[in-house]
Amino acid sequence: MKRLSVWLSLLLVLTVFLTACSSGKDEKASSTEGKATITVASWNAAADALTEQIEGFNKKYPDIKVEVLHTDTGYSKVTPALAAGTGAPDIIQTQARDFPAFLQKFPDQFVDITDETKKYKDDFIESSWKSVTQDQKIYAMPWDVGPTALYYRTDLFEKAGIDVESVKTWDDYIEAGKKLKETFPDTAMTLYTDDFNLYEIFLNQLGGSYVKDGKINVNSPESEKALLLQKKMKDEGIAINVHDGNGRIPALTNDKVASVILPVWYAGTLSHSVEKQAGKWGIVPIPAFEVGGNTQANLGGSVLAVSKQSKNADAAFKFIEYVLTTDEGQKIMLKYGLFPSYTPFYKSEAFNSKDEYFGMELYPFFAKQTTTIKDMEYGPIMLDATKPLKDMIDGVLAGNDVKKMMGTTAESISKSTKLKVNH
Amino acid sequence: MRETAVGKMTKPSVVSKKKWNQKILTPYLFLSPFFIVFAIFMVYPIFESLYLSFTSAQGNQAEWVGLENFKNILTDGLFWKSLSNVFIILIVQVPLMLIIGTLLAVLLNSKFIKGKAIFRLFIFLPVLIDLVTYSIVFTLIFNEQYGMMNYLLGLIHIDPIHWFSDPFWSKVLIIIAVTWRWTGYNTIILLAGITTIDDSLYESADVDGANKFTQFFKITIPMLKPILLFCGILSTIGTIQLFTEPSLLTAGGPNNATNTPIMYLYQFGFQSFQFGYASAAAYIITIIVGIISFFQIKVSKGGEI
Repeated sequence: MKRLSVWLSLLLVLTVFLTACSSGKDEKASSTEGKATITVASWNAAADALTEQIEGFNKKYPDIKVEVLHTDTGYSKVTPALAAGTGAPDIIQTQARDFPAFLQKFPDQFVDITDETKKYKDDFIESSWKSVTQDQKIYAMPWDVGPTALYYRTDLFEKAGIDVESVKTWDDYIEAGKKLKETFPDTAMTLYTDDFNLYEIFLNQLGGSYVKDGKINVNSPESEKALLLQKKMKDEGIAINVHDGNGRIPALTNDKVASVILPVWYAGTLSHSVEKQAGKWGIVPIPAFEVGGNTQANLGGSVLAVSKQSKNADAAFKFIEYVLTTDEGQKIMLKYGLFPSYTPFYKSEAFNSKDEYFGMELYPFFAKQTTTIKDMEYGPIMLDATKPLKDMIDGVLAGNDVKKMMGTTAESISKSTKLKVNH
Repeated sequence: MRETAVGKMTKPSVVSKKKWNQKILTPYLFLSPFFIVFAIFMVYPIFESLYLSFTSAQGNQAEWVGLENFKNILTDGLFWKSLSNVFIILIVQVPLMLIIGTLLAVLLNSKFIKGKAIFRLFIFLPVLIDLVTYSIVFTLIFNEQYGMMNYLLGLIHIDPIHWFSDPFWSKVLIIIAVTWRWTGYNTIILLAGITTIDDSLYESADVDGANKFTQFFKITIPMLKPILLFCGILSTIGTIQLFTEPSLLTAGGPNNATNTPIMYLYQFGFQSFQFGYASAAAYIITIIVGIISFFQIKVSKGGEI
């Protein structure tokens, strides 16, 4: 009897364990029968926007159930599944600049959608196709872009006697920053964070690239120029370090900063987080490096890709198609500050309405800031390059030799990516 | 008679087989759920990451590269910098925390304090607060431009301190944060140790005319030695594995002044998905922790009183 009970208890333990392991599988199998269920991994406002899309999407496709999986911007929920080859969401959001690195680190994990996207080729901003294309094949759909502008406090500029029209170049901008200090000694002209956002804006404005002809290019003359400009802003005391996005808000709320150099998506943050300053902000194109030079740059932007692990890849693409290539879909995206790379939407009424906070037609202005954005090659290095790039800027701002910093950064990226360095 | 003798001869062997089942096998069966879980979630990952550390595992691809990862880590200046950072923090923070912890424990144990339970609660409270929450509160308190700390320092005419942008002060900030959070934890352990010290030792010292200071240094400290060693080793390991505070407070900055080895391996493992490289870094850190703990035990002779 006792012996039997021992074996029975062992059996019980095993069955509990095995059912616990297999229950996940059963669920999936049953859901594919009638209704297709797709999951979308996305983050922050983008995930909220996608959640709001579900209702409209289900009116068109009642048989496809959509679930949005909120992830962090560091992809920590997605990558283990991609590495393991099982359990990945059907649709995965990545930053546009990270996607080539995903294609390299996780080959055969993304569905080739070249044929499906052919008809949309001309509907999207041309430069947005670059990061989703590998060997003439398209593996993801461009979502939003980040045309950059100079947001400035009209009231502070006026009191300090600065005419924004006269700020044509970055040198003018730095001079204006000094002039601002005369009236407001505690206010800096602009701010930056502990990342390489400002550097990337300058680099893109100059037409520089992280990778050129398959070689690491962070030691290019454009890169040096971009680094030196940020250093000059810091050294002249017109730019303060607020460390991260959370540091920006108190700096702006307390009038410590008179302007910011950021993409279109910051308009939404300003109107939500610094509500009191409504009507006090103006937006103009960023200053150029030399008179008459390029005044446009891109920062940020995401893509949506279908995972090869998806059992409902067709349904997944239908969802992407709905949210990114219809006016209904893009209208919701715009509400969340995601500026479309899908250009037919620029003609719609929603796109052309006046923004209360800024007192201007916000999006048509930014649409004009996308016309001369230069192509930027990120290469498959961005997941490895994040930390070295941050260190490079930190080092330069701390006063280290620029050429030396660029050299060591290029070498360290080369070590982890096995790409050669451009000399 | 003979029959029964044979019966007696065979019966015990049957019993012993049964007993073997009951006495030897049964306990393991009851333990098996734990061991199955332990094997899957602890033993397997430990060996898998050992294997990975010899490969170029990146994303979902891996190739055997031998000792290349170890070589690259040990020749990476950033790794050594992160290691030296935690050692600087360690050398200052662990003794500081143990001194404060011991003093607090002695005070809490003193007969003159009323409402001991309340004080104990307050001292232990920081441990119960979520790591992320307290890190965010600290970023606000120590904010360089509008933080409370610089405001208070301003009241006594001290210039604002660059807690986040100065390499020296950012380390001080980490030390303050870690000490704030973990002193209470060590205090409670030390307090438990103090209460086990026999009162008769103090009584006889009183009779011999030893004052409180002498008693503290000649009785309390020596008797607490094993507990102090335990706290010291635990805190050392904890500091070498420092991650949350520098990650949330300073993000390893400025210019890597507060970068730690765990942040270093996290960055390779979960930001650039170089799992092989990160696994190798994990093994190097484990070996370092092992060596340090070994010497701590050696030097203090296993905490013998």
